[in-house]
Amino acid sequence: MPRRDAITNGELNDSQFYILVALMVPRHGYAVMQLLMQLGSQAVHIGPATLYTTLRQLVEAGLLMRCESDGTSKVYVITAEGRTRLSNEIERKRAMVAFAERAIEGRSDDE
Amino acid sequence: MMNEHTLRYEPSRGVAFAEDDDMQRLSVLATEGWRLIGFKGLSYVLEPAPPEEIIFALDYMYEPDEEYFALCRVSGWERVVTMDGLIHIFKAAPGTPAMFSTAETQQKYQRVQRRLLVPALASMVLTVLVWWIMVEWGQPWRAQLEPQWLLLLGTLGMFGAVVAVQTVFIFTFMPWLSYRLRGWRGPGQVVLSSMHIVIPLVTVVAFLWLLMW
Repeated sequence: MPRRDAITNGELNDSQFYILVALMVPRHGYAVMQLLMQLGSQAVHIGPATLYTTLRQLVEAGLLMRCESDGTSKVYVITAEGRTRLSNEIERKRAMVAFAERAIEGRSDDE
Repeated sequence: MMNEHTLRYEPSRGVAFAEDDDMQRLSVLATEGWRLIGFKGLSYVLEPAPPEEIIFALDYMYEPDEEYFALCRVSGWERVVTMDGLIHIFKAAPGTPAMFSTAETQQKYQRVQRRLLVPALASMVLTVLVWWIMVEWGQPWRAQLEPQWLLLLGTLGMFGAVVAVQTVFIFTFMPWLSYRLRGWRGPGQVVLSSMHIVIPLVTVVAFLWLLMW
């Protein structure tokens, strides 16, 4: 499935990352959007179309699952596989930041 | 209820080729007092309404459920029309945050492009096949038709077949190519968006050339 590919073999993109974090506790789609909006400009802007598509992708990839539904808005929560992927991604990002920080500090030492 | 003649039909430039232009045009029409109410043939259908400042956005989504429209609604994007159960046009107040995340706008084009791939390639093959048949058998067959009226009928028949296959080509292969080349802004998109004029012209010229062959 082409849609799965992006998630199964690659790293998580920003939207996927933020949505998985937001769904460490069960929430419905709109609550995810509100939570991310509160983060302000530090986070990515996740529009409704992107949110809807990403939720679908993450459910298909088995990183999220749907819980009981209240009316039209479904409730989602992270799966065990989702947690594993999230931890891996955090490690990857930590390594990225550490590398960048070392480089920046190294340069300021020279000055 | 509006009378049929108070409606305005605004031709679309083709959402595959000129999505942004079309959406801006709808915005301008809204400020001039024309409200979008539907899509018919190749045109937007509008009715007179109080002028309003609104922006439009378009998304491709196959078989969306109610959650999709609910999420859009709470973010300020209200669905106006859906074409072919696939293309959804939304409206919102100016300044409403975009329907897509900055990085993932391209996803919607990938979705629609994947669906169009098989029809696009099929129409490509069909086009080549039909032209080949025309050159190989059609023209020799036509050339020996008698009397005059039968010759005319044969010519019209061949032209009809060519027009049909080119029409399918324009509506499948060209949109696919346009989605495939998204992000390829500038001259590329201009060339593509003029193709629905260029291809019919080329078809007519090629057909006249075929007759003289």
